[in-house]
Amino acid sequence: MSLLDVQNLTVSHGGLALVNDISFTVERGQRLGIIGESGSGKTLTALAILGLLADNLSARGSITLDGRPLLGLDEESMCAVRGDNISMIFQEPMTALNPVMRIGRQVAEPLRLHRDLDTDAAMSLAVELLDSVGIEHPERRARSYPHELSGGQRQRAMIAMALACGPDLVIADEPTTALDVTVQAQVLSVLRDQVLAHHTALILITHDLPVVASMTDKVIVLRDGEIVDRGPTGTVFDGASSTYTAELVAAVPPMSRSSIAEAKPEGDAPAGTPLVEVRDVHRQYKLRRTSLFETRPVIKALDGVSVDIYPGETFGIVGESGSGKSTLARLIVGLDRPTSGEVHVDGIDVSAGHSLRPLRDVAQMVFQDPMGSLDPRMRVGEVIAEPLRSLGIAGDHPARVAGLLEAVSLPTDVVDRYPHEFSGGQRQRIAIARALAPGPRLLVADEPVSALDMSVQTVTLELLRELKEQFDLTMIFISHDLSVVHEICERVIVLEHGRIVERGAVGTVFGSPKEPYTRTLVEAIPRLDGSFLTPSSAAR
Amino acid sequence: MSMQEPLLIHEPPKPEQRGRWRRLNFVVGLSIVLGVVATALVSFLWTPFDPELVAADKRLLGMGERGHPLGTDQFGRDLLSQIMVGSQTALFVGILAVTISILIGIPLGGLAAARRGWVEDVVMRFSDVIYAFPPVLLAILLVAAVSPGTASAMVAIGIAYIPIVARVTRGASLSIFERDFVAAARTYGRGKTFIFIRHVLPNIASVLIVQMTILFSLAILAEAALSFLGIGTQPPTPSWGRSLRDAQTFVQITPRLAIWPGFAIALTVLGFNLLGDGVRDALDPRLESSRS
Repeated sequence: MSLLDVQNLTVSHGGLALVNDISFTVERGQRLGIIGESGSGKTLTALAILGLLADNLSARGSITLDGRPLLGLDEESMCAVRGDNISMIFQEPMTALNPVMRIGRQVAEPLRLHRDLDTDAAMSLAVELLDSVGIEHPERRARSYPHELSGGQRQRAMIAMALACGPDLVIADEPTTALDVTVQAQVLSVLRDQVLAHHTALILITHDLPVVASMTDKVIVLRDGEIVDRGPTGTVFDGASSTYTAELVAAVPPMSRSSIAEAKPEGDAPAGTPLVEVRDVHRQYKLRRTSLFETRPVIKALDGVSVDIYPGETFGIVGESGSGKSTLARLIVGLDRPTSGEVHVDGIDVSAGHSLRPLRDVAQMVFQDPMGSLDPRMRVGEVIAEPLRSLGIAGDHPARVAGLLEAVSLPTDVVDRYPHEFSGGQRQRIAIARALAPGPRLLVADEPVSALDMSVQTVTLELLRELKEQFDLTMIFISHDLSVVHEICERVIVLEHGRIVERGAVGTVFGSPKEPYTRTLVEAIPRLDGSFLTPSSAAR
Repeated sequence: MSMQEPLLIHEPPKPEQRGRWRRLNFVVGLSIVLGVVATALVSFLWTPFDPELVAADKRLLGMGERGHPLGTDQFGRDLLSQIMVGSQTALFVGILAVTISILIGIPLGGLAAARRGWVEDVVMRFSDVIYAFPPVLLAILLVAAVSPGTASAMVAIGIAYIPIVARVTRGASLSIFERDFVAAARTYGRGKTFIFIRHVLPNIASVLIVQMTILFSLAILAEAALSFLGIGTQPPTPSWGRSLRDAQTFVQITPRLAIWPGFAIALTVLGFNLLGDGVRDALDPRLESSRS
């Protein structure tokens, strides 16, 4: 008998089936990957198993755990199952952990609840658990609050909590999407080691194919609430039995396919006068005083960065969160001023911080989150025409807006709609159209595809590439995702703690990295052939 | 492009049951407020009796006696007429106090959120100082300095509400100023004042409107309280609060004298609160599809 048996599960909202008649099983100790893009119903499936669906959703079909039906169980019996037999790891550990409760107590909570342990026994077990997921100084960390831990440590604590009662099944919903790539590698290997050691079954829900490839032995592919593909992990990705899976596999950037670096031809060495000149730029942020007599602590977001970017190139800036890459972008478009050093764009002194009006015609920016970068109260037409009005650009604005919409492949009749009516990819196109409105020569794109689904990423990247040719743009492309940068950029710098650690042609830097930091980044990329998580990268 | 996405796959979920309740709130709130406004307008032209006419032979008549629908008070004045004219005072009070507080509070809060740093510190500490005075105390001070009356009491209440509006504006604006569309507006050359008016205000309008309706009803209550203390609306101008005060002596004998003005106050306050909720929903474009 299978550990988990899901038969003909349908989750519907009103008359609309969001998950439509899906069946699958998970054996003891088996690791199942559920793949799907946003809206495919993968999270709803997990919530249905745990009986955590929102009240306005209804589930039909059957879900049994060890032969015991879960669907239709009353709340009290379900509570006994959750955390004891099945536990869940959420995407964002900062919100999934209670911010005012110490880590140790949170990890101990399921133990006290399900194992009836007293406080001390539960706490010492919690410390052991924290140790087993690779948290250093577990006793001290057990007394910390979630905000005092790094993102990776928090997710490790979540794993410890999920494994506390030795559950039969752990469901992990996009457990590493919010983490940096090196931290992702560490957390994934901890998760894999733990479920292997305890012979726990795992359901890993993600949109990231390479992660699934390296973590699971069986996958199902969901699309619009239906299973379109299933089978052993290797076979599904190689054979690609459905066209949809083939499309998803095709959307994986070459660098994430295998660990054998694909040679990328080097472009011509840049020549001429640079469009962007960054000279020994420092940017420091002063934090709040911790005590009355101390000087205010300083964070060096950028620490002596110099770089030249030439007309017509696509220039990559990579680094993990906190490396200063967004700060550099904001300095270049004049949203921020350097503490010292100079930034020139097209001969305009941006670092002066005033009379930036000429810069607005030259440099525009595309932001990461297309929901946050569009004013929700403005119609699409107004959003795109805003820069034209603001900069006093004469001409037939509606015609220009229509032209821009066409350039980003959106129908021109969307001008009267509001941003929330569009999907993430469409919103990002609107944001790109707005950035192109003043006819800039430089486009600074800060993680423009990171918030998008994999297949939408590919389309958006392709669009950016086309637009770059069509509008004769110079592009600065910022990303934490090396494989995306590898695909679209010619030259790249790698930032760590506000310093450039390596620079050069993309093929050279990623193909044969000279610096250990770059090498760590490259090695940590999950590959479709499942070849990451080598012991060296799993080491802390 | 091979994988064109279908357009408009991102329909927001429809809040059916909740939406119906909300609409009911809105309709009820609007009806009450319109009722109060209509009463005030009618009372300018017509009331059943002269609200200020004292008649010794008609003291403390019961409901319906000798043509007085709600009876008369201890001076023989018609209670219904008094309540009708009292609605003028209530609306005047609400409008005056709320206008003063938003005209000063919103720019102050916006300034603090846009500029941060020492400007924010100065503005918010100034707010704290005003906030430290109880509104009623502030009103007593102002009334003592100028003259007792509805207007001066309400100017004081309006000033007392400035820090509330400023705080709400600042708090809501801060998060909007952090959003990327504000950064985008700066990259295409908009100044902070324009950004505040064009991008931030519409996005915090719902919060402010709810706040305004709450303050409106609080102002009505404050006027009632001040009149109850005798430093608000001066006789013979009718006011619900003063009616309550006048009823105090007779509340054991004829509770009706306290019940009807009290009911008018409670109903008006409820109406504005319900209306505020409804207007907030109506202003949200994300809920537009569920309305049509």
